[in-house]
Amino acid sequence: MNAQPDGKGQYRSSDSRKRESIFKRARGIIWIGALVILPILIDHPYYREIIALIFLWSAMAGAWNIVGGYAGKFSLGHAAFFGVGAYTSGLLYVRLGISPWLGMIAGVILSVLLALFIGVVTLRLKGKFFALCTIAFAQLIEIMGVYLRSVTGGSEGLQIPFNAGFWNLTFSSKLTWVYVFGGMMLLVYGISRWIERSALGYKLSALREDEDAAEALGINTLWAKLACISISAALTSIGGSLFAQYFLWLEPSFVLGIDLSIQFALYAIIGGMGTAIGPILGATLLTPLQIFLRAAFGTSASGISMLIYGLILILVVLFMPKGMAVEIGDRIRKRSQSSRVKSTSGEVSIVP
Amino acid sequence: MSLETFDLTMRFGGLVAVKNVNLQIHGKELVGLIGPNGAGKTTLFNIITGYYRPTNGRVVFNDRDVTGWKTHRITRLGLCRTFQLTRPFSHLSLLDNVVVGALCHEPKPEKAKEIAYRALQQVGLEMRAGSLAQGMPIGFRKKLELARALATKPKTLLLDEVMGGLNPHEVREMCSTISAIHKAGTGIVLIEHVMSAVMSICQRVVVLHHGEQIATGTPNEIGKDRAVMEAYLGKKYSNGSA
Repeated sequence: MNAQPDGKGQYRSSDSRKRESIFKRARGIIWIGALVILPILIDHPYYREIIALIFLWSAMAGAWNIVGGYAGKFSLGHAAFFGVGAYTSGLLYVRLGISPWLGMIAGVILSVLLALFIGVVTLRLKGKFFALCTIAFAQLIEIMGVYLRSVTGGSEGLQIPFNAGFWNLTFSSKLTWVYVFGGMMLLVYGISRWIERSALGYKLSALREDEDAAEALGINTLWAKLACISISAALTSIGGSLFAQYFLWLEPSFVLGIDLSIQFALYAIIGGMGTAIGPILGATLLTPLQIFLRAAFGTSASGISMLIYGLILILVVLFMPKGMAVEIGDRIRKRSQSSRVKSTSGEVSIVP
Repeated sequence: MSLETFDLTMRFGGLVAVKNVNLQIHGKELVGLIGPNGAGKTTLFNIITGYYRPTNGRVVFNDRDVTGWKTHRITRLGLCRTFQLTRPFSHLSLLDNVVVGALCHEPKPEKAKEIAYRALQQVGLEMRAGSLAQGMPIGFRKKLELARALATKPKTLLLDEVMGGLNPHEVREMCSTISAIHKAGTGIVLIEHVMSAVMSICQRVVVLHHGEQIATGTPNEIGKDRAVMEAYLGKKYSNGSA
């Protein structure tokens, strides 16, 4: 699917296919095992915090990628869904004492409704016009968050009380949060992989390339776009609710701000849009980088950290314009192809 | 099974692109749609497949009034078109391009891949199934358009200049492919400028000029028609050669 040539696999013998699927499953188990064991080994709250954030932002970049990568609709308003999720569960918990687990569901419902509304209004727009419209919607919600002070606490922020307990979705151990966010990341990854293989994934990549041609082939492009923005909004909203309970402090300028929207997009772009693993790669590289740079230069020269961060981003974009996942994948494929051509040079190169 | 238009008219501001066209394509006919540049052929396709809403008139397909329907619904009903300027999904493989079409009636991607592969075989592109559509030569892109449309299992196909830009060898190939599709039971309307192809494979020819239907008949009749010659050559030369 997505950017790579596909479809060469499915006419091979069932034997090799079976072997490959066993190999893939084993590789998956090893990865998940590493994700479970590694945080236990790293017994330091600071590093555990970094890992927790890597997982959370990976999940959010992955959720953005469903719209921005698979459907090619460049949203710069995903903070709206994140903030709606955070504020819905946070406010229900603080003001009415409703469990954040239920608040999370309420947040998902609200976010999906918002996504459908935004979708119906803006999804016929293309390219930058869609991006501008999503910024406008997110700004609207941010302004509402500031002005509805009696409800949201306005710019002073919303403090969420710390009462550790499962039902309160509040954990005192950093390790628990690492696993919660890790689970979230796996959920987003799993859904992304499912979309890639499903009919929806084909439809999204078709409409990303050419909407008119997709319509001509019988695809209800509006429906496909609404489905994908709803899935993305729901996942982003869940991330927002989790973040609220983790951070215990909400502020419109952060959870609803454009910086956060850009951050989601940036992780996915650097890591590789339109791939399931790309957003995870991007967040894994950039989250600790940001934190370390800020820690290293934050006090002595506060601007320098952003400067270096910006330089690194420029370098990555210059040398890996398609994103890390795609570029690395291309390189591996090229190497394996060139070795295959050497071994069977006769039959490969004849076809014009 | 039939495709009919009643008094179809399309006006863009002051320009009348299609004027009172009454088209009748019966079941499994292979009909050529010809006419000089700007005659309104592609506009007619655009109206029939729902890209434009006509200023006036109706489109009826298989006894259902599809005027104003969304394009994807019309395709699902069995009326699929190709684009004159080919529009491949460049970053997908040829097979995946066709799978998108096959998903029209087959929700499972695995099965859709089989349908898609067969469609690629029909146009003779199966050996390139895995390569990207990006940067394909024109002949391949035209075949890919056709394969994608075929994968939607159309009852009637609207082909917009699938032979434009092909070399004589490729034109012959395309002619036999189209004839084979027709023999397998699909109705075809063919917009084409390659006259030798139109005359050799079409059962009937419809001629448009300035948006109006000026003639219809067998290829032989059309070749002798005075109005048609005037449209193509101008009054002076049509007199001389007739």
